[in-house]
Amino acid sequence: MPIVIKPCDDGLREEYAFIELQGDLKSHSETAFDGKFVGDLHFSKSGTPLLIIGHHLMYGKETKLDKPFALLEKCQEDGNVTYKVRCVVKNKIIFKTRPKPIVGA
Amino acid sequence: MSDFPDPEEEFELMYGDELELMDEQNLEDEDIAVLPAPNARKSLDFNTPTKTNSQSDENIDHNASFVSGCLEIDNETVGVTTEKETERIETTLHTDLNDVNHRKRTVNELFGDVDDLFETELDEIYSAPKKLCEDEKYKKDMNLIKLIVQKRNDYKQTHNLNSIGINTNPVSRDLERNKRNISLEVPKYPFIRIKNFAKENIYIRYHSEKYEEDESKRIVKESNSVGALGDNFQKVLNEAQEMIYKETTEQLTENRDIEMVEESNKDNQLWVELYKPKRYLELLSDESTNRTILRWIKLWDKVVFHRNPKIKVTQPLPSDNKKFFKFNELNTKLDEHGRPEHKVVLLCGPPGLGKTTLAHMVARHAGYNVIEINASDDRSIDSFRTALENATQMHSVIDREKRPNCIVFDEIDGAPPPSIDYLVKFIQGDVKPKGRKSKNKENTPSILKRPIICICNDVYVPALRPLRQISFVINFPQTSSVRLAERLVEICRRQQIKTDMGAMTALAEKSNNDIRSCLSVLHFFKTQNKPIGLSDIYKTNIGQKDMQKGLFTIWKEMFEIKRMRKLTGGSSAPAMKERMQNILSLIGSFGDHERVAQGVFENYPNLNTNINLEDTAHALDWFCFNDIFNKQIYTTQNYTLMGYLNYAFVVWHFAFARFQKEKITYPSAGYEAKAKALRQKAIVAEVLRGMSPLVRSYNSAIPLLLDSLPQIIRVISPPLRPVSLHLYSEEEKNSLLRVASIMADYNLNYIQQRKPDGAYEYNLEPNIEDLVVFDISNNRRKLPSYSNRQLIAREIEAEKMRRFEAQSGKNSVETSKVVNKKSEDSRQAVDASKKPELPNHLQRLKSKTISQKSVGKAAVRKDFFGRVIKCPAPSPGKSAQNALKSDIWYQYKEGFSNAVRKTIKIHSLK
Repeated sequence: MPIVIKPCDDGLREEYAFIELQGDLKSHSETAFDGKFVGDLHFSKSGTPLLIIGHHLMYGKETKLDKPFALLEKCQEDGNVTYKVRCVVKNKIIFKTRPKPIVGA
Repeated sequence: MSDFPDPEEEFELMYGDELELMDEQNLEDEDIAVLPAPNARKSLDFNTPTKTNSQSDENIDHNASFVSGCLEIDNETVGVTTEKETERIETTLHTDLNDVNHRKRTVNELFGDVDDLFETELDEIYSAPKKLCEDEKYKKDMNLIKLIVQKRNDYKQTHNLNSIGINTNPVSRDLERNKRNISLEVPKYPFIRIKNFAKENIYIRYHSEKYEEDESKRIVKESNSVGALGDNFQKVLNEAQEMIYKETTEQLTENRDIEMVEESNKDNQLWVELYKPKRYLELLSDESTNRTILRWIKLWDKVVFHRNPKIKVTQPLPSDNKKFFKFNELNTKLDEHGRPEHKVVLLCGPPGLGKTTLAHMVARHAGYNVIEINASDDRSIDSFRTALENATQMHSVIDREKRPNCIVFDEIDGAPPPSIDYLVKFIQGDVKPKGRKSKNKENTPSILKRPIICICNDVYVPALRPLRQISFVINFPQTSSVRLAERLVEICRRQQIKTDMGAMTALAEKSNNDIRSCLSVLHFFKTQNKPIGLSDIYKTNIGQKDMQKGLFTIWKEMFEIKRMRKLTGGSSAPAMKERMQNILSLIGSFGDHERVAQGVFENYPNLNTNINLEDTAHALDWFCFNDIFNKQIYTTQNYTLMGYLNYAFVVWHFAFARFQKEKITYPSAGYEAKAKALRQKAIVAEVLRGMSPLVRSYNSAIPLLLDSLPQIIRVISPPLRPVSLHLYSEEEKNSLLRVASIMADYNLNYIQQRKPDGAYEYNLEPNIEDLVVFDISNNRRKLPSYSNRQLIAREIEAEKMRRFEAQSGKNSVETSKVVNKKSEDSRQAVDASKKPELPNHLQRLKSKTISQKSVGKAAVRKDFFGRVIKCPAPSPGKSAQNALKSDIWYQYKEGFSNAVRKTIKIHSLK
């Protein structure tokens, strides 16, 4: 069965990137993460990414992926399953340093 | 005007003392006083008032003249004058008073009970010039008057009582005094109100201090009290003075006698010196001892005189074959230098037996020059060294006979230990010669080539130990009394003292065969020029040198009656008085009363003789007495009571002493009991300390010991079968648990201990068995067996663990509750409270939640005047807070993320 993969209609407008964390994301209420706010991603002036989750602040770095990934969207039309490529992910942001606590004032 | 004292008062103040003095004088002189005839007194009175009348106009003048008058009178002699004096005083006072008061009161009113004696004076007083009277002064004056009246009464009384000799009955006198001093209505005189047992008011006269003093003196004087001694003091004093007088006169006469004798006695030599043995044969001491020493000193002949000793050196003595080893046997072998085996002889024995004399005599007899070093010489190491070197290495130059030296160390037991050590080294040849000589004689150490004789009283002095080991010890036996008595008789004969053999034997025995003291006693008798009888000997106090008896000797004397040997040959018990004196002197000379008393106390029940119960009770009373006194002495340091302690020993001696010999043991019960008490107290303290606070709060040491512990020991030993825990019935298990819980409460436990024979046993810790289980009560077999103890011990540990856990669990629950309360408002805390407490190893660190409320509260700030400063809450901060509040949090994982790589198929993600 041929799988049809075609580029998105409106082209590859958005740029996506992976976020790789050395650690786990947890929820206090132990519920699913659906639609929840996880954290803030900022970039400093020098371009280093900053991630704030809860009261943790992490400094990461942007690296190029060895193999690019494609982000596909499944479309079902009359039994035909097609995939639309939303974008190609070429970069990932990796956070592997120990997070710094943000002390609330 | 009223501020100043009245002239009368002033007078009273100023001359009160004199008044008193005169009264006293009067009293003192009363015995000697010539009783004045009434008419004579009157005439005297007439004489004196003329003087006073003339001067009574001006008070001050009057006072002054009164003083002078007093002085004048003081110089005059005895009774009559003093009486005159007092009367005169009174009259003068009288005049003064009357000046003030006569208008208002008649004489009779004022001095109602006062005598006719002064009528004449009063008449005169009426005629005396009058002074103003002031109402303010009235009261003071009244008091004064009363005082004077009273004084006069007193005077009259004492006067009548003592001088005239109309002795009124003391009771009636007392009544009279009471009438004057005590009343039921409000009296006129100053008073103190008190209530008697019927709650009636009683008014007691308030006297001045002076009066009280007077009165007390008078009472003392009058009371012819019979003191505790049973005699009047005066009588006793007189007797004592008489005795002293007698003694002094006697002494004077005696002294005269002695002086005369001494003048007649031409040679002032002591008899000890005079009758010193001149030859070896004259020696009084034991013959065999003398011979032994002589033989020993002769052994030195080879080294000293270079001639072979005459004694056969290798003499196979038959005594060697004897079974017992005779210590006094002299080893006659010579060493390689030709010296005897023992380089030194140690003579020991009680004083006055002639040890020193023997040493000197023997040495001289063997041809030596004696060098004596005794206690009066310097005995430091240096002087020892020089003395030894001089004596052994030099020839005596001055002595024309050129005799070799022999050193005699007298009283060596008093020498310092280092010196004795040096002496020992010197004798053994270990001493390196000092100084320049050492260079010359380096290779040949100096060896001892002269005999040394050491003399001591007590051979068991610790310092003498090294010397004792290398020396030939000769215990000096007692001189036989018969031999000594013979010698004494001989001396008496030469000195022309009349005496007999019996007296001399008694003297010898009394002095413990101390020749020195015997001779000095004889010398003393000689000066009196009297024949010496047996009674004289018993009466004398013999000065004894270095006499100290051991504890056992004292106990022996306490329990044994010494038989006195009669001249006729039989023996008799000494009189009670003698026994008492003997014991008193014995105990008095021995310091450690307590030890002696303990010995008596512990030994008397074991005596072979039976003592009747009455005596025992009596003696025990005295033990109590002794105990009380000892306590008093040691608690209040009142050593004057010490003197009474000795008498208890006399009582004990009388109660317990018999003629039989008794076996006496050293008292140890006292010490043991003390040690045990200490141990037991420590155990009680240990129990108290270990108790859980709840139990401790209901216990104190004494009730615990007396009431609780004896029961507890029963409670904790229930009847348990010695089988495994699993086989126990429910009931048994319960009782075991109960025991464990009780023992845990009291912090008791069983601890395994190894017995000396290697077996193990479980003992209570702290061992309260020691405290409450006695040998007699035979409780031992009721106590749990070894296996049960083991079981209980384990159960106790388990119980303790359970308790600890329960305690800690309670604590944690409590703390968590507190936490919950605090963070009720925070949602997470509510969650936590819902969840059961996680065990430690499952718990994770959690981020701290920041409560909004506390942040907001902290933000309220006030300025200097207390006004709230409104600081606008920064909106970015708020957003940050929101961000921080997010539900999702990040858990960092340390390490490398690329440790394990796993390929994931796409279908597995589905």
